[in-house]
Amino acid sequence: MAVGVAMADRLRGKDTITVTFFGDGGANEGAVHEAMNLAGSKRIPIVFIAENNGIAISMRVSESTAAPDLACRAAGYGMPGQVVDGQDPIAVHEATTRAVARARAGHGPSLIELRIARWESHVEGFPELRSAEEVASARSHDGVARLRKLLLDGDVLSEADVAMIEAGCRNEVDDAVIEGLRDGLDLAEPAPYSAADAQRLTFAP
Amino acid sequence: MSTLGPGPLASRRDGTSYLRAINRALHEEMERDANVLVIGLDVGRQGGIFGATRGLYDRFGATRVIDMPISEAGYTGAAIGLAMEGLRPVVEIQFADFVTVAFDQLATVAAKMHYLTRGSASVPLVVRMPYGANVSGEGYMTGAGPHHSQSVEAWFCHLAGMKVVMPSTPADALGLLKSAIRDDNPVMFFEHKSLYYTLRAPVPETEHFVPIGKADIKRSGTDATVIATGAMVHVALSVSERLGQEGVSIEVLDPRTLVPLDRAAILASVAKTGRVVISHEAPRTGGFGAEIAAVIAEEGFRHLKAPIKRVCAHDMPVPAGRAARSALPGAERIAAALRDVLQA
Repeated sequence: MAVGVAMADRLRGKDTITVTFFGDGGANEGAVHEAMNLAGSKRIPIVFIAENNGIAISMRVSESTAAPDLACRAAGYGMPGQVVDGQDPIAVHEATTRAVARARAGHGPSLIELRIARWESHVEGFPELRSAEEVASARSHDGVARLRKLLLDGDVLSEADVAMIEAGCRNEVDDAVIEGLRDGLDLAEPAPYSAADAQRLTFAP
Repeated sequence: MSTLGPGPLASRRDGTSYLRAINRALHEEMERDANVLVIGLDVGRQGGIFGATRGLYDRFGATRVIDMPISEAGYTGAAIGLAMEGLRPVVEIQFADFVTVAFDQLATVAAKMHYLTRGSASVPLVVRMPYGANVSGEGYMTGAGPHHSQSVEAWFCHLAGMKVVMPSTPADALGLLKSAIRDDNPVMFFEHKSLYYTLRAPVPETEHFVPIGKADIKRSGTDATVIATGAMVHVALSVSERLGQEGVSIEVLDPRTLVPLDRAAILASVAKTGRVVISHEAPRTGGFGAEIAAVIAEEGFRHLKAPIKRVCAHDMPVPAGRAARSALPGAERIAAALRDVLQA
């Protein structure tokens, strides 16, 4: 679908670049292979971002793929592939800027594998299959904390600036929750659907 | 051995072929609307494996007639993305059998997009699928084997989110394909590949539309109704012709669209004749004939003078070669079913 969105933009002469995200689990779906092959063969302006946190529910990357990384798959599609520390905001920015520039220049897609860490189990309440050390290590890598430190150390932001940004973010989330609840995401019993409702909700007129 | 025609609709020499009608619909719609694209395997310079897209590449170029690698999930997914961006892609799946590998894109993404986005996104996508074997017994395309002969329309009728169209004549193929391309929903368009070259019939020279969701009475009659799809329409017509000579008046109803189904037309015919045979080329179990029979049983039971009969393929893969004839429904089985319902 993402490849089609990128094709549409190119057909219409827009310089928009499509960026599509999937995990280390989804990376093994056949459709991902087909999308990357299509994008490579037709030089589609798209950036594939594989977010590799090392484990898909309970399936570890080491068990699901024999290759040392996911980025090396890019070679098979004639596009550059790069492993990037997903918790290093500067490195992520540099890699994505390069990939977007490449796509915009008409050279086609790129694959970026972001190595990240999973803080929680896949679903809240699922038993944690990883060791306590592993989880602690995952939690010690925090891209947001790292960026905060970088900006403070470089005197780009003051503590007061940081506090203000964080409060702003918290407010934004709170507002979204309030708005969602107001729009009907409450626990009230929904009105029963008729066959006509089903038709209207499912098909374009 | 039964024969296809030349029945009332089918003529060997005169008129437009079923394939040509489809080709004309594509030409007309691409000419009219620059958003219409054709996507698939060998649809460009080759003009499609059956020739349905012939001439489009020369007229509209590689940006609108897009050859793809053998990658049904990839290009069907891409077509969905294109459709969501406001283009109107027409995907050709080389043989309907091959749609299995793109099924996730159609079932999970295309069929549910309108609902998921509360109608803010639509998927004006047409998927053209050459399907079916041949049941005429005339020697052309007698079963191209289990992987190139299936009638898979029922799979899509159960997805709740796409329209399913199966024209049986050149005029219907032309008019329905044009309607499908202009429809804002995903439309699965089933083309019977045995009709491509063999069926010729007059087609209006002026712009022609057939609305999606409207059945057509292909032959009017009073004693029994055959509800048939695709090539079975023509088998039913030739059987009806023969029975007509024996003084039996058979009505042949072609639903033309399975989703949405023209229940009113079916029920009106049942009310008139009270006797029904349903015929399709897909296997019997879970075939769309079961849905039609259920509609009649639920809403037209009081009109029935005999149990409903289905004439479908046996529940087996389509054999290669001549063996397909006995696995698939044919004229003799329709005639036998008609005798049964007429005697009941």
